[in-house]
Amino acid sequence: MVKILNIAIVFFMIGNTFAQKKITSFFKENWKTQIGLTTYRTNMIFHEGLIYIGSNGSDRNGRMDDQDGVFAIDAKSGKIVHQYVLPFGGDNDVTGIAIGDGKLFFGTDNYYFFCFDLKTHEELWKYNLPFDVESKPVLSDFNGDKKLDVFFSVQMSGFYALDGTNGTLIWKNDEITSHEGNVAALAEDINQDGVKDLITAGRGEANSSEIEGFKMKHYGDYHLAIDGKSGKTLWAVETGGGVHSSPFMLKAEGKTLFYLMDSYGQLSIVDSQGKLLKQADFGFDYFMSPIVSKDGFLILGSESTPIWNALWISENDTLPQYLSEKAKTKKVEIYGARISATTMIADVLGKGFPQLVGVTEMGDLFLAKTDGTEIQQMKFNVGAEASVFIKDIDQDGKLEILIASLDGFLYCFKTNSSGKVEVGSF
Amino acid sequence: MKSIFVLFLFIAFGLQAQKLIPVKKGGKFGFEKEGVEIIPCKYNYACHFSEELALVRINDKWGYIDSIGNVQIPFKFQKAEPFLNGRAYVKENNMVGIILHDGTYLIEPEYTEVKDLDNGFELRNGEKIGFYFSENNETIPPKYIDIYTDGYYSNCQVNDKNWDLYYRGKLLIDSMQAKIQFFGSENCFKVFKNEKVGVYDLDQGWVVEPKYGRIERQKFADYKIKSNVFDFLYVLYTIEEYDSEFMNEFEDYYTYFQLAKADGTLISDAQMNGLNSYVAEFADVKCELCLQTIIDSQIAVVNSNFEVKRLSFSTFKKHGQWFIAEKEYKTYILDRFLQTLDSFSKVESYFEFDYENTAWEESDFVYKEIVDEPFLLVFNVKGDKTIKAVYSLEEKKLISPWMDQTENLQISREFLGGKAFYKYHGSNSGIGYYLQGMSELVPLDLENCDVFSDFLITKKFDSDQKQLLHLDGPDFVKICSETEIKLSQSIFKYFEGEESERSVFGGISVEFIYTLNKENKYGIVTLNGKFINESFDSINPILNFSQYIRLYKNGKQGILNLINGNMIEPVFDYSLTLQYASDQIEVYTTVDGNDFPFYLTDKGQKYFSQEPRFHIFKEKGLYGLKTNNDFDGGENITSVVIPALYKSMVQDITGKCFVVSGSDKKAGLINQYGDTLVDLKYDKLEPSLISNYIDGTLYYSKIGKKKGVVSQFQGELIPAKYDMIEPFGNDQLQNTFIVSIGKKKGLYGSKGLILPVDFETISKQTDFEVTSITYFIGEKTGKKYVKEAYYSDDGYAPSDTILSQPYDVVLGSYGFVKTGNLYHKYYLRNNEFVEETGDLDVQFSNEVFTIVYKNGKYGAINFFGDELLPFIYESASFMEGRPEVMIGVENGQTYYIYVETNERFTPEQW
Repeated sequence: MVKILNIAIVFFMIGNTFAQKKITSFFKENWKTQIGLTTYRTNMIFHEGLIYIGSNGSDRNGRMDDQDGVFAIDAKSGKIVHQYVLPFGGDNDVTGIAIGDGKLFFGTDNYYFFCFDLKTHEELWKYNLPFDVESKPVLSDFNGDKKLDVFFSVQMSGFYALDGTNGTLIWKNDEITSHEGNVAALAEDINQDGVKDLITAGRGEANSSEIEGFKMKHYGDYHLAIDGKSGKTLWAVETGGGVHSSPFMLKAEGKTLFYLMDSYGQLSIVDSQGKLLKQADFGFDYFMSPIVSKDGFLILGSESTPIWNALWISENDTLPQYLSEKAKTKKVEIYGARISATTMIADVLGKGFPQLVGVTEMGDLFLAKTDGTEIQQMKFNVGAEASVFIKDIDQDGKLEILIASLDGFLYCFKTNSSGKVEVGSF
Repeated sequence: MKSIFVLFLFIAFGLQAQKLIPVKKGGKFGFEKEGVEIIPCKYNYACHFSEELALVRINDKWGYIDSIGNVQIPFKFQKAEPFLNGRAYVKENNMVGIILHDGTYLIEPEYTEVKDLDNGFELRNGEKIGFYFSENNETIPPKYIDIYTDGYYSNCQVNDKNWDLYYRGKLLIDSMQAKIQFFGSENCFKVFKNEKVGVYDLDQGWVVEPKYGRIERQKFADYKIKSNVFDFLYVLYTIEEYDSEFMNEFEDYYTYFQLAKADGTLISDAQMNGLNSYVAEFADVKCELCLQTIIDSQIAVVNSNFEVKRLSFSTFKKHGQWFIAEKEYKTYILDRFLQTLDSFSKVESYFEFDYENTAWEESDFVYKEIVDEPFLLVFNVKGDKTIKAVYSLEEKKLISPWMDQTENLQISREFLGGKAFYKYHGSNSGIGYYLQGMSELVPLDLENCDVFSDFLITKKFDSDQKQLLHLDGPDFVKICSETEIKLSQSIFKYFEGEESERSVFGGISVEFIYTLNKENKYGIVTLNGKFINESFDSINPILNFSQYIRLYKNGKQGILNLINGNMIEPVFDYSLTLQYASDQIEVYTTVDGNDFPFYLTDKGQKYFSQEPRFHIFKEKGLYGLKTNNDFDGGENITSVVIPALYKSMVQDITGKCFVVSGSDKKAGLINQYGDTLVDLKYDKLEPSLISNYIDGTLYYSKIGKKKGVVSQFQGELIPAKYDMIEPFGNDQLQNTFIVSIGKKKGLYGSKGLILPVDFETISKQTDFEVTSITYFIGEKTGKKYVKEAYYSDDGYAPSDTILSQPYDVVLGSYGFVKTGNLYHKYYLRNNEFVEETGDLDVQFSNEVFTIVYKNGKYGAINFFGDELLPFIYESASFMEGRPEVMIGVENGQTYYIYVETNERFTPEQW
């Protein structure tokens, strides 16, 4: 059982000058497939032998980009089985996707949300929106028809729940905007009404114009919970900066805790009623979502530049504020890199203990113990924003690591490990 | 870009969402409204309506229909997108373009890719790039590897070596060998060719041929070529020298250079190295020393006429506004015009002990060179000895006696009564001083002397007495001679138990002098130089009120304001308590005294209410003033503040000032305390509508038929001796008045007479470069006379300059005297001759726009010559700190005008 108050903090930061070996020295490249660009909000889904992943195409601003859409890729060969391409032009970038009830759900930068049939590949419905959809959708039954509905946020707009069957609006919450709409929401029935609620974040009115340190004290950002049944806001926790990280849920000692991080490094731990239990500041530039390992380590990744990090470290070589008196900090420093992908946890080395598996935007794949002890850094390519995906996708008993690289290719690396996967996908 | 349209999109989406929704029936798409089919399901695909049009597909072609199903843009596109912001990307024959609502092409479908960027669209054909400028619909063809554009100029990379330069869609220069560098927003560029750089002007072509290693601009005194004014020279680096040890690409690599004017003309064939610029300090007038350089190992200077003069000095060093130069074992002191002021065997800067940077626990003391103070140490040889003295650069004379060079000499420069006061202290030569303007040094047999305001405290070696001297005109007058005369900040007292010493008067932020006589009576000199005689038994600081000091005399108490010398005489038996009132520090007596309580001003005047309501009362035919009293509840108007002494009394509109007349019926102004603000000597005082916080209300005064102006706070501003007085221009807040006697006019500012009463008309204009300076122009018999004035919050004050010579024309910062067909052009400041010129064209630029004079009026243009502001202004100037604003005067009314939008505001609106 996880001891919440003994949580230690593992940082992935920049700074190390290790000479790195290529990833292929450790993991064999199984296949690679060109899919276009991805972002830190991109997720991958393994479904019935296929890997599904959304694409921003060859150019994130391209409006007639043939690579925009969602790719369905054979997990064993890497061959593209189908590309869900939108019939009309425009900026049809796709970031997050969801699959359920035999359907594929995703939003686009072209102000639409789509639902496709996985078998026929036909468009089932579409919903016109006032702005981009950037986040990963969440599927759950919100209207009680025993079928999966879909929740997503819309950039500069609010939060939407659509009927998964026909795409009609169940409810919309625009009490505050979703800001940039980056947060992949969590679904959990926190008000015990039998319908899952949504934990996400957004931006409303700033309640202060004061400057605190290097930034405004409050930009109007809140972590919030939305009632899955009605769309009403259940609770909102004020935070100091825009939120790009997704919330992490930890169930331990009979409690449900949410780890909520803003991009200026303020971590808030709240209970299911939104009561703030702990808060700590970790510098700034956080796009990676916080993860807590089963053995009780909080893992964070900073996107900071070397100068910022150096300043921060020189000022106080430890964290400014611990979550508990017993917490300790350990850093894995990766020279000249930025991390926006969320770190996964899996035994990819087959050592019998879980490893943290992360990527940087500069092309480093790093492995560490959950306590922060560095195991290996390796070079794989030009870098990745999207989190890695770890699973035995070819069902040969060994894990694969999938990396959506910023060179536009999805890489599949084979491991020799039959180990367990604790957190394998974003 | 997206955020700008968020609101629009919300509205658009909201409207159409309530209207037509695409539906699919029988495998075909149509549109429904609230469940009713409006447009039949006959399309292979349909998007939602966007900007009144819906993108639909029939077979494999896309087109756009309106809300009743009419085809608005034909089905001809291979691919298309819903309209957004009035545009839609379309694809035809595998090529991308952009259409508008009416189906016409903004960009023809001729490109493999079109990308929306700032200022326009990137156009791609495979790997080749072009650009479409939205603002003027011009296109750079897609034939480049890369394009860098600022929206106007574009560097277009042809290949690894060649670049083309475009202005919008117009090719200006082709096949440069490297990128073009912009000098700024002018049409002039650094252009690289064959790894050499030149300067290319869009109108003139090559200004400097591309044969230099590096080219920079060096600020220079303003000069004119044709009708253009320039303020720089080109520095053309010619010879490359490589020093492996100190190699620095940008500083040491190109060592030798030539200087050229803006048109590329070399000012000298000489190869120079090393460049010091004095333009920022000296170029306000035509000067002999703009730049300093080295030619053939010889020091040379460049003057504002581009003359390069080789100097015979072996060293040349700047000190403040002066120069120290060595030649043949002699050191010369030169002014900025390179005139020799004096010469000595050696000249050095004075080094002063550096308190801030000396670590006291270490033995090495730190000294700092005094490089800006206007004095130097000078040395000469006398017999076999070297002697030294202090030389004042401002006074151009020695300000200490000669003394042996080994003697420890300390110099200080302070100000006494507004004049420079040099004090020297030689370890053997004693103390002496030199006061600016004195003909002789005053060596004093003194142990010490301290300066405070107009006072000097001196002490002789052989006396236990100090003297307090007051500078009165050119002479010192002895105020007193006592054993103790001290500056408050120099008085320290050791507090037991504390590590450091603290001043007895440490809580008092205002410095003052106190004296103590043989009877142990204290006197005080306040900050404004007022000497309060030695009569106090004790003086004490007052906690939290640092500008006041408590006075004790014969058991009675009073309070002194150390800033202005105002005093509540020590006549009170009980302690006076200070408190902050709403807008000033008020003083009042404690209520436990025997008197009825009241407030006191710092002059000791009684008053009774912090929020007085006044009542003018009449008693025996005379008028006085009562107010309410805070101490009796403040309800009733009971307390007399001014007894019934006046023949008449009228309350001023400000409420705290009263026009009164005495028994001789002469009128003046008093305040609520009975202070006379304006002497009772006028036949009449009429309030004007002019009022400000410096002067309060202004009154037109009258003595007989002659008129003047008095101020509520400042007293008489203009004596009542003029036939007419009227505010100058429309800007009454500036307290500037035209006065006239007969037909002759003069001008008063708030600080006295600016133009004498001698002119037919009077006008003003602001200096282009120094907007705090205004020129007032008096005109008579066709000639214009200029007087410089400074503007501050309280209005215009005349400068020290004399009235100018007569000019034929005054424009901007220049005056012109016409002789034949030529104009002699002068800077209005100092009447300094600039040049002989054939035209009156005057232009001034800041970083945003250019003010131009044309056909007798001012307007503004941008750097491309486009008119920004119309030519309707009688005068014009830049606004300090707001480069996007022009100050213009039209029909006598001043305006602040945004040059980009032509929005303008009067000073009141601004």
